[in-house]
Amino acid sequence: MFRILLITSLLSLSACASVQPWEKDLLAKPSMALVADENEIFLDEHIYFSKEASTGGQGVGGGGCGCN
Amino acid sequence: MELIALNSSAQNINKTMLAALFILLLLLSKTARSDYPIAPQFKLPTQDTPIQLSRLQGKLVYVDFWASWCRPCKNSFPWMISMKEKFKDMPFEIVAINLDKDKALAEEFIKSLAINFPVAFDPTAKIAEQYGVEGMPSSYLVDSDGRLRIRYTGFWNKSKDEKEQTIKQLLQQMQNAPNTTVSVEE
Amino acid sequence: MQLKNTQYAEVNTQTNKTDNDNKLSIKSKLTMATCALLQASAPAAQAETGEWDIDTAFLYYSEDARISVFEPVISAEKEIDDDEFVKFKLVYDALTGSTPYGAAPSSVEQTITNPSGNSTYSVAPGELPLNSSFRDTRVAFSGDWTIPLDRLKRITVGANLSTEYDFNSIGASANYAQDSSDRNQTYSVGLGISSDTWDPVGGKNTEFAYMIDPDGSTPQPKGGTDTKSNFDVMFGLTQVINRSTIMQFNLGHSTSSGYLTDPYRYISIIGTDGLPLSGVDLVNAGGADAFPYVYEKRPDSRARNTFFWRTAHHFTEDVVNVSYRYFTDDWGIDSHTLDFRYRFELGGGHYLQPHLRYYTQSEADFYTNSLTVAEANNVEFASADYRLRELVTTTLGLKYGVGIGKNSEFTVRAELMNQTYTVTDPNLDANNLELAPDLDAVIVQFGYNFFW
Repeated sequence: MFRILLITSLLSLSACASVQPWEKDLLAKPSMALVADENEIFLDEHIYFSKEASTGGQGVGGGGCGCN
Repeated sequence: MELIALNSSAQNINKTMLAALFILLLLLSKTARSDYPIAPQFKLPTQDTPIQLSRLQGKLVYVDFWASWCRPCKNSFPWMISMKEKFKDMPFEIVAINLDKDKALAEEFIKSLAINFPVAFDPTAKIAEQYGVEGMPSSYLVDSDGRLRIRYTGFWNKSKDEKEQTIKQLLQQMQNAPNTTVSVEE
Repeated sequence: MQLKNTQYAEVNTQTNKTDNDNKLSIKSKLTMATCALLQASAPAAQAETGEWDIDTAFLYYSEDARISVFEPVISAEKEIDDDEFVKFKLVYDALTGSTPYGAAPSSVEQTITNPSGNSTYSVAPGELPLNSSFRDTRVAFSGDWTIPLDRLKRITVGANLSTEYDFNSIGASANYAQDSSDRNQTYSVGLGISSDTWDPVGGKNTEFAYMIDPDGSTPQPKGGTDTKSNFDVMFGLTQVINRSTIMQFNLGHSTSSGYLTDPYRYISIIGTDGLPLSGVDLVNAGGADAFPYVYEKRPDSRARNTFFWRTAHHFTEDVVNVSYRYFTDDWGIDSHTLDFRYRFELGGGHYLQPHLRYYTQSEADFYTNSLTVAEANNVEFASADYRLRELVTTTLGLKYGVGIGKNSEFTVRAELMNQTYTVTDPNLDANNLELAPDLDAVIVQFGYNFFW
């Protein structure tokens, strides 16, 4: 299963365009953060951690305006 | 460089040698100068009259590329304003080039501050591309000969004083030897 | 003239913008409604340097005739120097109500001991046995510090602790993140550890011991406290796909070891008649004062692997956020989680965001709805915890958000959660019995975020 997921991921990465620093206006928006509402994700994780057998997996990555 | 007056016959040979020496020195000095690339020209609209880099020849120009969605860009404005104020009696200019795709967002920010230098608009980022902007914000110091001396990527509180020192140094050396391109200790 | 690769004086002092750091989850215990999750900094999108970005939220979670949870949380983050952040989070949660402890429904009345071990309660025929004397409050605190190493590299260190009357957890984490020079990629690696201590009410129940009638003369076999430890590692990659799309991939591996059993849960022992063990058979199996339940036992280690993908995409105005997680462990649990949020921008700072979450999991290897006496004597591990079943959780919700002034935002969301199970039990005479009724719950959350 992991192999399929990794191959699919690599294929999707090949679709990347190189984005210039001044083209990060949309990515800089708070609504475009990978986790836009951290408390919501945190509370949801808590609920599902208590009601299901799977945990974790999420990380908040880079992105955003890419400034400085 | 010195010009030495010589008398006639020996003069011809010496004049040729001198000319050769002169050309050699000129070539050497030109080599030193071409370490610094020429800043790309631009003529961009502002909120009133368009700004042209060539018109600022002879001054030290701080060119800053920014956008309203970039927090460090906005943070750098109070510092730029204070720099322009500090060096207002010197041949020092700041040009802030805005790269917002939506001009309205930039104008809203501009309204909120008392900006004492021109803000130009480059929405297609043509000039930013020519300047090789690699991060937001990016600022460049252009000397009185129109050459790029330093590029700063990002805006850091830590380096504000250092940048101010560099500006001061360059202005000082422009004053002392206005026709000479000098190097700056970094 | 292109100046991209020009070699001229370049002055880049330290530091590096940290938009979002990789987060590492630290799991503390596998029981209801209590956990300590560690999250590293997700720096303020818009707070000014020196301002606190404060996010508050209040959660109300309520199951149909079962558990209710009230959970306020407050987190505060500040940029203390160039791209250097500190963040704190404080959570309080109060849990009330009843929940299944592992006894199976039966066509006869059942008598079960409370977790405290001092009294019993009755369960009517056909009813799902729930324990109703369960109360728990928990406080958790975490702190994170993000330190830039240079323009492109940073580390985040964090610590967390959580306490409730029968469980404590303490943990730490470290995360390293590095951006590519164009900041279109971020690579990260994170490590986390935690140490948890169980101090169950009345002491830990001895695994596979029979539940004893508190009015009898036999003592209930008990242990004392116990501990477990967790170790996590996670590799992450965030990639800007194009001007309006960003993706994140994470690979995680975690191991837990120590006491992983639930100290309160038990399993029904069923006789040859398909009813809870009784009479002579029960006395022979568990002694004179035994009830037909044995306390559960889980393995003392657990290894988990996760693959996680998330993407955010900006349309003309709206934003869609989709994530998928694949989880697998050595307890036989495989799960898929699909999460979908679509944000409709309504203009004027208002938005509406429907949310759909779909989750499926396979049954744990040692899950069982009930045991016969022979099985109880032979199996190495067993648990009737409904959360280890083959199940599907579906959640559908709607969130509304509005910006207030320049610096604050109010949000409210309401969701319905439904959990259905696939359970077979060859031991039970299950005619007319609803073995595994659905779990339905309502989720309501209010949020208020502001700068100060």
